[in-house]
Amino acid sequence: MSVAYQVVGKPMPRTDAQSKVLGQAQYTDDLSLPRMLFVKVLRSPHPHARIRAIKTSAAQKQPGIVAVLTAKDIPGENSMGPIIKDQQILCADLVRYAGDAVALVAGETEQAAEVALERIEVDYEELPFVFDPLKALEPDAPVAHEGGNIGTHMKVRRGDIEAGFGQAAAVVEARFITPRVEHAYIEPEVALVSLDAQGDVSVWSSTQYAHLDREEVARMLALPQSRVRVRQMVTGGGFGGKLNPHAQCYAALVAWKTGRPAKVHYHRDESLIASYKAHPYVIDMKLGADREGRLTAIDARLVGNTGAYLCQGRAVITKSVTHVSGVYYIPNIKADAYAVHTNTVPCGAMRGYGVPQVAFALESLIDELADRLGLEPLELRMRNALDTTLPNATGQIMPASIPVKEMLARAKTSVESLRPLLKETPPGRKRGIGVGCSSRGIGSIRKASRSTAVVSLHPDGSATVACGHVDLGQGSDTMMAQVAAEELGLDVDRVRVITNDTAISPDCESTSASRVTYLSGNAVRFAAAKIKTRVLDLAAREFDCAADEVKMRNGAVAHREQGLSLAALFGKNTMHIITEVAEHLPATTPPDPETGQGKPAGTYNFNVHIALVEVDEGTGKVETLKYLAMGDVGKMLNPMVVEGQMHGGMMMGMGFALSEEVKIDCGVANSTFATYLIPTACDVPRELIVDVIEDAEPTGPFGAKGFSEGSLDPVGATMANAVSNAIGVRVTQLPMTGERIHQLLRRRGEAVLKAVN
Amino acid sequence: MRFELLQPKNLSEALEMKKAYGERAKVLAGGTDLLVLLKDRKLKAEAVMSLRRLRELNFIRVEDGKGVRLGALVTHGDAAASPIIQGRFPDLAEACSQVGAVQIQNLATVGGNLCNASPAADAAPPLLLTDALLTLASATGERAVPIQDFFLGPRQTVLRADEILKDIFIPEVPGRRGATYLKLGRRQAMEIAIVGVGVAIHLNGSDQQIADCRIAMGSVAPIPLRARRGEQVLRSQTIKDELIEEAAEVAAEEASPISDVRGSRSYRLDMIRVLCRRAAREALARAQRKKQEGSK
Ligand SMILES: Cc1cc2nc3c(=O)[nH]c(=O)nc-3n(C[C@H](O)[C@H](O)[C@H](O)COP(=O)(O)OP(=O)(O)OC[C@H]3O[C@@H](n4cnc5c(N)ncnc54)[C@H](O)[C@@H]3O)c2cc1C
Repeated sequence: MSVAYQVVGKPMPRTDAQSKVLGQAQYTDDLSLPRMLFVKVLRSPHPHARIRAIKTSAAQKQPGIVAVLTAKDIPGENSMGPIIKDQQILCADLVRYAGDAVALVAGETEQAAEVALERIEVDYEELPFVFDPLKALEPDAPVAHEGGNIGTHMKVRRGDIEAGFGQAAAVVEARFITPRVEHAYIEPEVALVSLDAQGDVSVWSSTQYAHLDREEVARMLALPQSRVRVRQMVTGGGFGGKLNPHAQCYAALVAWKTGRPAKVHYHRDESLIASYKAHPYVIDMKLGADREGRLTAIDARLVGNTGAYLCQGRAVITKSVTHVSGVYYIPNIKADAYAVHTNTVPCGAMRGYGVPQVAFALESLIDELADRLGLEPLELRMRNALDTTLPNATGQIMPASIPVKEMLARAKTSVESLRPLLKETPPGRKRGIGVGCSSRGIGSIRKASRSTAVVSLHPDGSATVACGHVDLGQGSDTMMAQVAAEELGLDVDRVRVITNDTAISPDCESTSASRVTYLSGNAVRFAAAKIKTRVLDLAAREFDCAADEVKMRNGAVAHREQGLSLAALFGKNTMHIITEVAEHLPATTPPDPETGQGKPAGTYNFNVHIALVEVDEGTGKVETLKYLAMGDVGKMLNPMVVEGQMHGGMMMGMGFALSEEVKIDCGVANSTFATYLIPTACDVPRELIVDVIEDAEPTGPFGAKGFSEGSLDPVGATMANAVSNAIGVRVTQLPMTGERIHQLLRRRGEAVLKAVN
Repeated sequence: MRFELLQPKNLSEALEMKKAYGERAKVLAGGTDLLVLLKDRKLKAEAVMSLRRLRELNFIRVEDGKGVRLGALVTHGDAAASPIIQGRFPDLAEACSQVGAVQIQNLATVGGNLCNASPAADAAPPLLLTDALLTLASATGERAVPIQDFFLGPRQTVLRADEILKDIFIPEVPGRRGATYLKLGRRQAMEIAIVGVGVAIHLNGSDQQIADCRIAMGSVAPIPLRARRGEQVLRSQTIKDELIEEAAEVAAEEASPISDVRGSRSYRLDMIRVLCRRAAREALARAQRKKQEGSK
């Protein structure tokens, strides 16, 4: 079944590309308003302390200072958070990590505010603190958060774990450790807020969820949401990190208190110190298989360090634990996942959302198991791969669009073609090949979620799409335009997509969880289809024919030799616009809290990656010679966007695999991009190949589904398997810095020496 | 960040200004260190004196029979691309081409790299290998300071408040000399060295007879330094692999690295050994090739 589409499936540059390349795109920090104040945030220097008193009078007297604000100045609720609102906007009595916000200074200039910040006197009573999540689980550990250090415990229970291991001919187990990771969006957090004459609040911000900005600002100011309007400006990346509108709240509080416009923009160090990160995990995992190489059981304990606040910890942990069996059918599963509080920077959403961490552990053990069983790693994967008949860890069976076996077969050919290169290893180097797989439920796993779109067709044959899924730079606005254009028979440039204004675009929940294409793409398509039906019906009446005999293209309708412009058709029917609203709510069942069983996602995305690496035996440095990223996306709406996302996700995964690690001394220790190292253009693998598998998702718009996170998910696992294969030692900790690999090589060397002597 | 901007038009004007302002005026060359420090408020400046207009300090010149002179404003990019430097001091060209990335190399100067006195300054080890002389100028005169006496500690040099670095003189090294600089970072660009090692080897007629050996190291002590005892192991010796190993061992003993976010002390010590061995072998190979080229 192949349908010829006009717009969908065609590579086309993003609608925002030119303005960005020319430097004309307007980011929040490009805006300023008359009489605008600059806001600076005073942050706790202590990981855990009680606030005895805050003296602001000296700061207030500084030249150019208009206001100094603390928790008691907040008129409404003093709480924020993307999902769980357990962090105070300004700490009233306790600070729980070095970086927690305590007071705001608003000045005529940024410099004045910075100087005054140092004049605020906070009397702290320092309290015992804990950084290590395993220590935090010990009985007499300092309590990092009221209610205890276990923020969440999520479970998966399937089958009979003991019987499963009983059937196993080989069992492998290990502890895996992953780093705390920074999103490193190019644009740090920024917000501008002003009040109009009626006291209504306008927010311009860099955000992943404009409606959450609205909700949080309204709640803090005790205002109805209808009196707060948020416009997301061009946003320089989010990757999950812009789902907690702290900057927006700080600017709003100052604007509210002073009546003057107020701007907050974080410098890079503040963003690194204060904003939430991706969870570091300690994973204990045990995996068994029978003699035929069929997986029989998996037992896993996942400990995610969620830091001082739960933020999104519960949801991230849920995603991890429900994805514990990856792309495999494992009949017996026992998995426990914990979000554990410590006195460190909070952790929340980041591209991958708990999947890259478990994929690293699982895929490493799959390779170990293959070794034990004397099977090729890809063969063991093939024998256990999910298909349309087998359930994943949540018990869900995907009836279509699950091309895992096809991908593994292709991977086999690729690996064979790489093998000869192992023989060309230069002296002093070691080469290895690694494979890694991942699966990902699209959309939020812990609850059902819905998208709403309003599509309007205008008489001149142009259309407006309003749908509140903001574009962070990933290209979703372009794809929404393609979907509407396809359905309405228009050119893409006749469609204007407005996703960034809470006064116009309906709340579609956040831009996250790889959900926009699948959810909003459907909502837009359904609304456009309703419009088309109405137009065709009107035209059929005019032409005296059946609706399905009418063609709609380029702002006109036609039947045989008869034709009418939309303007004429609208005119004859006294219409000025046709507007339709539609929703998409996939039929899902959230995982049961005791067993993890349900039907949590409308569709799944699968990835198989292959890496050929070369390790320097002297320094431990890893170089990626070739990287192949195979991704299943359903049908591509825009191949150019798909490719861009896959490159970006793959390189982001490379950072997780090789260099990125937020370290804690008191607060974040590496708070600059000179010490927190993301990959540069020079670190891209010598050869990077993207291979897209198109296996239509019947419930997706034009067969499409989400995949953007998927391109990151298996990178850590793939690279770890490749490096382990190269050096002959199992890597159990990321990132694989030269120093870590050097240590492994040394230890192996010592072990070999011992064996010889 | 507020300061008075001084823009002298020539060297003598600059020296007069420096005399008048002393410590209060900070010298700006490419600004890639200075502006970062000022922005982070790790340094306060009443005035900033830009050397940008001092064209007379932007040159690379061969002084016949004596050596090569680089004006203090030569950028890493220009040094790395210069046939003069590439031909005579490939180790310096290698170092300059590994500073930051292209954007940094276009702005940052070799002079600024030295005056900033970071233990990790990439240009320092190659210049230490050649006994380069730094010309320090003030309104009252000039003095030539050997580079090994220039650094006092992190961000500290012998530059007086009224002085600026005018140029760098690299004495010609006659005979068969091979040299290289190896830098280890955690990523391929925009990275400060975990360890940097330069080695120069001079041959004495025979391919196997070492006349002189020099080893310089960065990021392993409060200042970039020569591994003089390590050099001693190879000097005037017939080349043997065990000697290279031993020289690397001894060089590591001369270092006093710290642990920081880039790497631990023990990793750094290991890496001195690794880079030293590799650099020595490469320097030797380069020196050996010189004859073949010469005799062709
Ligand atoms: C992103 C980035 C990456 C970097 N990567 C590297 C790297 O890989 N390796 C490396 O070694 N460095 C690196 N650096 C540091 C810096 O670029 C170099 O040290 C550079 O050579 C400094 O030169 P400059 O001309 O920019 O010096 P400036 O910043 O202008 O000056 C540096 C210091 O020297 C003084 N000074 C400069 N010229 C003179 C003079 N003629 N007389 C007296 N005093 C003078 C200044 O007052 C200041 O104290 C990096 C910097 C950045 C921002």
